[in-house]
Amino acid sequence: MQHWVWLGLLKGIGPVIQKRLLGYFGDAESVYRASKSELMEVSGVGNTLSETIKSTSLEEAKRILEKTNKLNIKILTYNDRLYNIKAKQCPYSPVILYYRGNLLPDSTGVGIVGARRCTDYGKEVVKEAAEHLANKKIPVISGMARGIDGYAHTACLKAGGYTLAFFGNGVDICYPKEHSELMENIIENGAVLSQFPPGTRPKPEYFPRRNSLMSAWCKKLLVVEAGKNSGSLITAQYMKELGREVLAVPNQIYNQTGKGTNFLILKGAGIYLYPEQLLPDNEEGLPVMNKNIDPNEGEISRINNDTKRYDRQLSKKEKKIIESISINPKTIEELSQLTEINQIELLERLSVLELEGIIETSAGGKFGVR
Amino acid sequence: MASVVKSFAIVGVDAHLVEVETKTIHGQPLISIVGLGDMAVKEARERLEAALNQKNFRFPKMKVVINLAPSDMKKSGSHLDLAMAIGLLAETNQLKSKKLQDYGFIGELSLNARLRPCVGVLPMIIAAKGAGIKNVIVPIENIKEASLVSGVNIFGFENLEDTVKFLEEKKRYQLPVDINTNSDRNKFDEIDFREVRGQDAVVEYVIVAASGGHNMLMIGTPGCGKSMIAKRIPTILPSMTEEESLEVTKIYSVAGLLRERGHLVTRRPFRAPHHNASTNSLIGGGINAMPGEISLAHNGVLFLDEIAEFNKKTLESLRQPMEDQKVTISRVKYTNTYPANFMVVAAMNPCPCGNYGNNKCRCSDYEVLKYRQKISGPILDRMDIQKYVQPVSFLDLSDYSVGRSSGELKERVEIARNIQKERYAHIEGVNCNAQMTPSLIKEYCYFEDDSKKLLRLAYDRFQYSARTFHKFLKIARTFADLEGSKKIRKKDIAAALMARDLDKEQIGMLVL
Repeated sequence: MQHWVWLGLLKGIGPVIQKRLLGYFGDAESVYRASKSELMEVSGVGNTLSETIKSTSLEEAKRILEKTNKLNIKILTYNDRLYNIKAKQCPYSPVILYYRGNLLPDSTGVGIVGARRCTDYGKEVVKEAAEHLANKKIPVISGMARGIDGYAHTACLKAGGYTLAFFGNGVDICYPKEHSELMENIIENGAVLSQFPPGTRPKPEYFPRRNSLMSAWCKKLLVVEAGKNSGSLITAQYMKELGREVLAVPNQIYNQTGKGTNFLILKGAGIYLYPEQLLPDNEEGLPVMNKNIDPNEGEISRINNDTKRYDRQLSKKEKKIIESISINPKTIEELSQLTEINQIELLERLSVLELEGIIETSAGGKFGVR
Repeated sequence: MASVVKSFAIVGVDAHLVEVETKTIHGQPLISIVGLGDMAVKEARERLEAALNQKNFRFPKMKVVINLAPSDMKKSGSHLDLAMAIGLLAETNQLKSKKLQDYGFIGELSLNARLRPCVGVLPMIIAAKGAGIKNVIVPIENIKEASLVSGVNIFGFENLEDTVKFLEEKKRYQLPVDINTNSDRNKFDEIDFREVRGQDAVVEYVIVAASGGHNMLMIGTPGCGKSMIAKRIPTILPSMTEEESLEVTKIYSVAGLLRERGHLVTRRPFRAPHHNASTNSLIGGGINAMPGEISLAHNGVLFLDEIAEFNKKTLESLRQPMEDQKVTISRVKYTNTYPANFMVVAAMNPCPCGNYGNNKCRCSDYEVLKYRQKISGPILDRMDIQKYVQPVSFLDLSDYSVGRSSGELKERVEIARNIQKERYAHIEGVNCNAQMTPSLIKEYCYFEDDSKKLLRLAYDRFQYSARTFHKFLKIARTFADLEGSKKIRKKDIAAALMARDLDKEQIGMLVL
């Protein structure tokens, strides 16, 4: 195993050359034992690189291995059967990964990425998407950053789903710190993975590499509220290179938070409207979903809820209230103006409607349709 | 024979009779004051010497011993000066009066033998009445405060000379005419709930809080009117009874906050300490164990603006007085118990940026929760009502009808309070719905059938704990009382279930 770790540590040698070396020599130990002239046979390996390979000792690798043992960190090598074929196909997927948690035989899934500072709209979209994926037993993949990433993992876990988080730092470090609870939960019901050895602190330059790794695991990618220079756009770019589908959540065109996603749509990304779009297209080993969903056929509840049925006959005033908040949530003051019902009477009616599950309180003491 | 003159000492909010004994002994000229006086008492000797060296008096060239009896009780303050001066004058035959025993003396001396006003006059006069002293002499500035107690003759003088002349019956007492009569009675009248417009729902909960003695937390974006509403709460609280008034005035008198006012505090206090307040300033403390903000808010409102910014420890220290309605302050020198029966009204922002729930906010759920967790569970638990205050659009303001006036609201509050007073008359320590224990809730909360159905529904939907349910029931009881209903109706339950916005919001948060 130490040779694998060693292979991952070689300076100036990325996943592409690593894989060539593996392809030539068969396994990591053989690479380590190979002579300089043998190494030079591999295309792309010249004098300098072979020099590096020969001069790098096993010391560092041994130290890291010891650390992984102590911290109960598992190692996923390129030859491991848990290393997904689909992920392997990706040229940037590294030959060695460190992880904590449990990897499924097929852990590829749907990626959800987006802004750290997101709006309620973004949160709502993510929640719906992640819950849907969890219910369909499809892994949710993200980067455990603040905002959209964190919500994706959380919503998935809350719905009892399986989720993977890819780090731009060692898997023994929790970044951002506020997600320590979330991280523990992910480890319990999924896994956190990283190509960086334990102890690596997060650095800005690591995140694009993390994004490329993440894209290797994603069959589809949903981008929510990415800004103009968001890292999510990098992930989307990698997905494009892999020829995999990118879906973007449309946003208002003047809205700063949605500039990146709207731009993705302009450049040909799919427009995300409902969670069924995230389900895999006809593919081996995964539940097959009917791609040809007709929005008019009621499969998509959200688009088709005009004729929602209630347990009882609603009064005229109640209908008016529901109508007023059907598009977006309103405060009691706004409702009072719209419906011309005084606030004290509204209080009582809203309370009953809420208890009956017809409306609900949303953030900031507003009322919205459930 | 030593001369004996009566004065008083303050302990906590109460005063006790002190006998000032003065004796001159042949020996080296020297004045010594014994009887556990503090520095202010000890320094009286310098003031005495200077004051008694005025034209009409002379300071004895003998050893003077002044004893403040009972000698084992600690005494503080400069109000004993006058009694000592009178005692000394009597002892040295410069003052000949047979009626000294009928008088109590309160007052600080200036070096020119003028009388300066003192703090704590009201409790001292109450103590005089209790001790059967019919007449009390006070500095002229304290006449009004002293006169609040009926049954004691108050004489106010400007200086020592007048006092002595009066006691020797060389001059008749004349009530000074120019006691300034300006009062703060009009201060409150300028603010009225009428100015709160378009926020009827929140105001309704404020009425409930005021009626049932419930503590209230208002959450809202900056500038939405939280403080505006809070400031108006005292205007709808029922008027204080005379007993309550006297309690409050006593505290203010001891704290030295009454000097400018000079009359009984009849308005319920409204205290709004800044969030930088120290624990001692809030609870009470200092070397003399003085009353803090919570005692100054006794029978009134303690408004904690930006409650999330308060020091956590300071907030926690409120827990016990909130339960006990009194606070005991222990210091090395003093242990005082002050009343502290107050209603807490608090205000805070919903999240670090303050805009939670509208488009400007980019706070993550974790940050929002973290921010709210600055207020501990036990404190939040004591806030029966937690309501959002929504900003009112400035442009729409003119469309609203004028809000309801404080007078109108106060009437409703008083009706509900009277019902409660009757209900809890025989139960000690319970005056309002907020103080109901679970067994009292069982006893006094009877429902209509519809209400029960609604409660069932609420349980199924939100899985509230029994504790939370009790809060709702207390609030529902107040809603029913406000309309004089014996049974708790469906609408009372419905309105009560809307009283806790924060609880519900937490359910929807995406945080593990």
